[in-house]
Amino acid sequence: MRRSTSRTLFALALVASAVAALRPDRRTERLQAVLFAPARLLAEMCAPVRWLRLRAARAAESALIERDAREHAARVELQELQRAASAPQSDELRAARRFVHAEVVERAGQHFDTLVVRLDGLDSSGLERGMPVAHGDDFVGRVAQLDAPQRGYALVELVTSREFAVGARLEALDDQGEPLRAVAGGLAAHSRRGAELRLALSTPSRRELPAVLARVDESLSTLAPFAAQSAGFRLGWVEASPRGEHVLAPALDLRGGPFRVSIVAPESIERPHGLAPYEPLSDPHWAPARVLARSVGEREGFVLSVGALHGVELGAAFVVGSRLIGRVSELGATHCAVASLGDRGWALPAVALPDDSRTPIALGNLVARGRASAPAGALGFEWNSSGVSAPGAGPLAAQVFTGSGAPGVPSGLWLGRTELPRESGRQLLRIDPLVELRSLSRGFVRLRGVTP
Amino acid sequence: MSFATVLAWAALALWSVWGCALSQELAAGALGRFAPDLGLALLVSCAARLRTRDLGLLALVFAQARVATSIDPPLATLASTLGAVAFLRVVRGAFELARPTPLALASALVVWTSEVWLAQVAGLRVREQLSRAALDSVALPSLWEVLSHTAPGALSTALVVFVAAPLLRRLPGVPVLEGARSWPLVASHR
Repeated sequence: MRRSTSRTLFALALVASAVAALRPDRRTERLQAVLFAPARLLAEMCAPVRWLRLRAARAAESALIERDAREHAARVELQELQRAASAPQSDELRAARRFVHAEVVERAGQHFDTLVVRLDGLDSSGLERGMPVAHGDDFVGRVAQLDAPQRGYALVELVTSREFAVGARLEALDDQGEPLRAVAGGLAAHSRRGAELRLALSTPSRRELPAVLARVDESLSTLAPFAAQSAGFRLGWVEASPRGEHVLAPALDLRGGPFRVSIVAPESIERPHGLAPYEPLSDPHWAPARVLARSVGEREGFVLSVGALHGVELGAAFVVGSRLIGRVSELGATHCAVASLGDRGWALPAVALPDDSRTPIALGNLVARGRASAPAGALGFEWNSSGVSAPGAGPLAAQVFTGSGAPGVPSGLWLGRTELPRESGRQLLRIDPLVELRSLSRGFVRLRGVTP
Repeated sequence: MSFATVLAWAALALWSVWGCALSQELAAGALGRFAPDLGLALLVSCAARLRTRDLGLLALVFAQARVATSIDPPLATLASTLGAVAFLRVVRGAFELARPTPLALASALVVWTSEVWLAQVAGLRVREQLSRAALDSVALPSLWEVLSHTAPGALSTALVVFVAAPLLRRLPGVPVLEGARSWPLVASHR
């Protein structure tokens, strides 16, 4: 009887743990944090094995210290260039408007068409709900809420949102010499996962539309208080969908980006000038962490000495200086597991800064493919490219940084160097981190309570 | 449970975590993919001899050691360890598992199946994460790729078990767990 009970309990534990591993939820995560609390003590006891790689750890840390000033300078330069690129380039769009820079922090939970943005100086003074939001000369959406989810932040409703509607003027005239008009907003019905996004175009002023550029024009709407500010920003190019409807192909990657935006306000708003952007690397929301063990088995990562009780959350960045090393993938009460960049399956927004150009290229989301075969130590990432337009021929040498929008990961963290292929379509990027990061012994983990 | 037995379990946990951590250091060094999984070698060696009633605790202790040195999901690691122990429990009822050759073969199978299982769980989570971010799924390694990739490690683990299983069972503290009523002795009386 006793043997039968023990066998049943054993079988139950096996099935329950297998099912919970395949279908994780918050309750099982809490249970596993309690069940595996002793693992932290055991991880500490790996110290004698850690001593075997002290020399390699010191070499990696010296190399990182040596590179840190350069990587930090590159980060500052990237931030400045991105900031400049978020403002309109055309003189016409710059006239009689004020542009308030904001960094995209993340998508708002389940609302994929809402961006959480951080305002410069964490100050929302002078801004109002409904103000247009742009990136360069392209229209992005409108301010949906200010000082949300916390003070100094705002929610931006993207033009891809289902309820979104904005007047569009096409760069073509009808038979009476009037500009062609339509209403743009929401995703076109044929948009599919993996395909380029297309915006829906409804109630056109003529049945057949030419393939021309559409710009924002809300002058016919009496309900648009910021029509003067939004007028003229690009929406996209008209094209015919496979179903014969007209849709707009936006110039911006609205799925992966934008990483920076400008809120377009009337010139007369009362708001201090020269507010500095927030620098997450300088704030106190970081916990120093020791590497307790390197991951055994096929996966690449570390077990760290901080956990949920220290304020760490899933997805938080593990950094050394201005460089991203990995993200928290499993959370215990007093320890956590970090999947490093060489682990397969990461999705990470990224931006590239070519060596020969001062124009950052938003790469959208890169998906990790694990270690690349060459060059030695390089990391493979899958990149869905829309094509790179830059002077010259052949691959473009560039530095790669984290982009905005990944919860727990600040933007502008250095990832490595790569050669960007110019062709569009699915590409394999080989990013060389230049330093052997698998021997690290310490770093810092981002804490919760703040957006990245 | 006597104080000596508690100490013996603690010693086994320590040997297990050192075995796992040392395997990673060997894999990062010259041995690469040929590095044996010393933690699993110890688990298999012990599971062949321990009393049946202690096998659940053995799995739990080893899972703790594995979680301390791995970024795989803890519950997936626990399921993999419980599965390995269940497999060894069934096999030792049918074969003389204390002998080197069957034990080495069983250890290679355990390494393979646990790697395949952990790769499947990791793949499932990757697909879920990418789906949540409205991204396409990345090409994940096929079953054959996982098997061929882990084959050198499975074979070297089998070799370690073949040569050194008796030594692993004589690590300080481990003989206490085997005690006077080890599985081969009980089985021979049946």
